[in-house]
Amino acid sequence: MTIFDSQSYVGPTVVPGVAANAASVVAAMEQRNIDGALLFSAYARDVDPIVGNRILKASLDQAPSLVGCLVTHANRVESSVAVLREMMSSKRIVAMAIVGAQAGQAVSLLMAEEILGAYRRYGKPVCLYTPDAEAVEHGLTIAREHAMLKFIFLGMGGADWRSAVAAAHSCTNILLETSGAMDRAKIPAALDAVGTHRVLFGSASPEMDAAAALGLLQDCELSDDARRRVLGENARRLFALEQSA
Amino acid sequence: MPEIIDVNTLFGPLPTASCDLSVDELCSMMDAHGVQSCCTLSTIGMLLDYSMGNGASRAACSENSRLLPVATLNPQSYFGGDGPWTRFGADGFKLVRFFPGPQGWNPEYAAFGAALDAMRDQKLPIMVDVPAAGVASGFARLLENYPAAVILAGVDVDTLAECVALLRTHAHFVIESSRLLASGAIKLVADSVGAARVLYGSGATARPMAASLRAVRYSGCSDADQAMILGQNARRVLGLN
Repeated sequence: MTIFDSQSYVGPTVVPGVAANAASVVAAMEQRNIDGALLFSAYARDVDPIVGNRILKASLDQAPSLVGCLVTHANRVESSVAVLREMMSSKRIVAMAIVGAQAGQAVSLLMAEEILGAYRRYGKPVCLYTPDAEAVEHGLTIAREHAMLKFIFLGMGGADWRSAVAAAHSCTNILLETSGAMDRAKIPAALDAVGTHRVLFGSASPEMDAAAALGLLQDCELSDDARRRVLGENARRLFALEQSA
Repeated sequence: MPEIIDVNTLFGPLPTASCDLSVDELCSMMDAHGVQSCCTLSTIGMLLDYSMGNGASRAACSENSRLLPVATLNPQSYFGGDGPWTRFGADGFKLVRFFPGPQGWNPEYAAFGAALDAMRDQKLPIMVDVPAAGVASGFARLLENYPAAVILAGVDVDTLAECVALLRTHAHFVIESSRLLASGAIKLVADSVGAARVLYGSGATARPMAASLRAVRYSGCSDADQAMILGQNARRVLGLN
């Protein structure tokens, strides 16, 4: 069964030496039998989109099993749009994420509008950080306004995962990524509400070890077909992974 | 296969959980993952009434020898005197657990210190949840001379450095692993203070046992260190034969 991690980071973490470069990310994936990953730059998320996304690009050049997600900042529109123009046409860059003024802060439609306007023509999915119900509410508004784009709710609402499931249920261009709360009930509830084709396995590694994140799915009663889709098939289709090779 | 003892499980009703948290479910998870023993307590003791909860914990554990009873005490309901807390050891409890986060008190809460004094002579290990930065340091000031092991539970990346610093200066402190799920976190603790200072815990039945087990198995620790973390350390700390 193919396993694709839809949220993995390269860059400094609390634990020294982990995920420091593409080679260490790939080595950790191989130890855990993970076949591919959507890579984000921690530097781009937490510090600077231009330098951080260049680090991402350099990392992708060293690792064919990885594809990339550019991280843009809603309060740094000019540099974010410059990054899109510089890198988004690459086949190895398959998505864009938007962060607010601070990591973990909800991004509103008003804040995201200019970046989404510049991004729309690429037609690739958008990742939104949804650590809580407030972020989910904003994400739902954004997804409704931009119905032609697909939106991945990273962390699927955290402890407020029910709100993310409800949002995805009401808006068919929303997909749920499984990192966030370690609640055994959330994956079956999400699959019941939105079907097996709109849930993606993701770990937010290295903050959550991908091996542990897979444990959440291991302890859920899922059909083989649902497991196959969540672990890899949905990501393969969404990110057009064959074309990015 | 090394012996697995899970020092952090709960059973019973929990408003924030949407799945089955019954004793049967806990036993079924233990079977599925080859866990030999679990320290467990009723959520009623954490959420509502510790006397009622401790009774439920003893009852559940008396029917299943793989379950080890954990007592709890809410300092907000502690008014001194000759209460059940003076008999926790005689009643068969293996450890006493405190929940400052859900119950809304902190280590400086005077009734907590008074309750500790009342229990001290029994020399039972205690487990304290550390839900935020600074909480473990507060407990350390109060528990510096506690005569048994102190288990810091719920340690995550935000509190990891604080807790490792405390383990270096407090020889009787150990860490429970249920939230040590970041890549490299368990290995970091083992390399910093020794694998003997980490106890396996899952947070089941609300949280998945597979996640915390896989975090140990993919930690990069040697097989010998993993065996210590998964069971041997708990056996030593809890005084199990």
